[in-house]
Amino acid sequence: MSDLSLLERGYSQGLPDVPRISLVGLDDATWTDLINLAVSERTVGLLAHAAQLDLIEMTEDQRDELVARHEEAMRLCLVLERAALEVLNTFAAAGIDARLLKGAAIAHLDYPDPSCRGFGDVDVLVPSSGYEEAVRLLVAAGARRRFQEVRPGFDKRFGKGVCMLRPDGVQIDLHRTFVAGPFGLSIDLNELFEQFPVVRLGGVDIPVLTREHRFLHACYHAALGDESPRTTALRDVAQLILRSDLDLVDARRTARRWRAEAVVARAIQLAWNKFGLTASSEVAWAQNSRPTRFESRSLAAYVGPNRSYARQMTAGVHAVRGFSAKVAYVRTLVAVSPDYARIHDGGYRRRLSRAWASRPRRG
Amino acid sequence: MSLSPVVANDDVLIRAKAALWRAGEFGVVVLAPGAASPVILEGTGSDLWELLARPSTRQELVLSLAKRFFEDVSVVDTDMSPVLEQLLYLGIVETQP
Repeated sequence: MSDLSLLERGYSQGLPDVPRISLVGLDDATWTDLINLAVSERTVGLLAHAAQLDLIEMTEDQRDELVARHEEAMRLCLVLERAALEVLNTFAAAGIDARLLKGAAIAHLDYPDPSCRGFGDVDVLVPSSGYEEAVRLLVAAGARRRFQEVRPGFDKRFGKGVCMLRPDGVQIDLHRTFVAGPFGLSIDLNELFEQFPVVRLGGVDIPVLTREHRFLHACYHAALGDESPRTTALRDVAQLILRSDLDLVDARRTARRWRAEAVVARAIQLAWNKFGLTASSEVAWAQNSRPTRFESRSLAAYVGPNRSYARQMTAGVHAVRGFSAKVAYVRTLVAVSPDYARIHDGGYRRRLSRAWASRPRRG
Repeated sequence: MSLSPVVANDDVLIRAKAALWRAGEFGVVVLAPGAASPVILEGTGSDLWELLARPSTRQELVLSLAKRFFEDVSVVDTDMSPVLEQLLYLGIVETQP
């Protein structure tokens, strides 16, 4: 077993049929590489929890370092949770109906102990109607945008959201939807606000997504979010299926409505492959699932060598509902703000040619 | 002169509602409301934190810890006084009426 797959076995501890592993034979340099990788992937908590349950055999020195790194990771999580409370209190006071997403919510609600699941920023979902006010409130509190908006008003109507950096260094990912591009545009966003489960943080009930919506968000993040899927997102997918009361049938039904069953299928396959999990009915469904035409051409914008933000934006045309909305969307793609074009694409003409060249083919 | 409050035997103590915390093999890290950074509770501090999940008088806490560690009550009482006072001062623990 390679050192990397050994680590992946470490990440999968606590899931069914995963054999105990030993890190005792690793030389110091390899151990250092592995623990640094775990820190950067924010998976130290998974290893620490497994070590505590004696599912990973380690030397005393390895154990000491793991414990120290775990403490560092958890200190950061507390600072981020407080930031999340501040942001959500501000939004609530302004009448914005927000939901805490991903790390902080999943850590408390879907893992046996929140110290298993690390995270590095704060993710908050707001409805489109409250999006601009939410940005304004964050800016008023001293935060600044990390990236320019494609064009004024674009994010509120078509965008995924915005990364905001607070003066204390905490990053707030303000979401309007789960991902950029077609799969983000085909989600029925109103559904995400229909129910009101909560997580209790610092004595305050904070609204979150339902378990099925949390699972779907984890799938979008795992299957589409990064070129190399994030370990935490993949573990969230496996964790929710194998160690929670997730109603997978209901989640798949929702995914079908959102034209994203292929996203769920891809996330499940990636998670099972990553952690070497035993094949199950979920995997059989994922392997036999056939993407629709919309799903195939949309997936091509997120996955593979031609993945790019410009391609996702262009592919989004097919998901925008209504003729006038489509026209507005296309107009935005070819008439971006000069600032955005300068920073992201090296100029208007280059952006135009890129958008055109990356247009999905009919077929 | 100490800024720490004095904890009476019949004071009912509990974790501060607004405190954020995580437990692990390292102990317990707790972020008090308004604090710049988390503090760590190690050793018997972790046990104390566990007991403070429920409202307890100082006397109950002392007895529980003494029983848990097979230690003399008077020794635990002496050791715990400054710890509890510090936790109250930091806002990690609060008294209940």
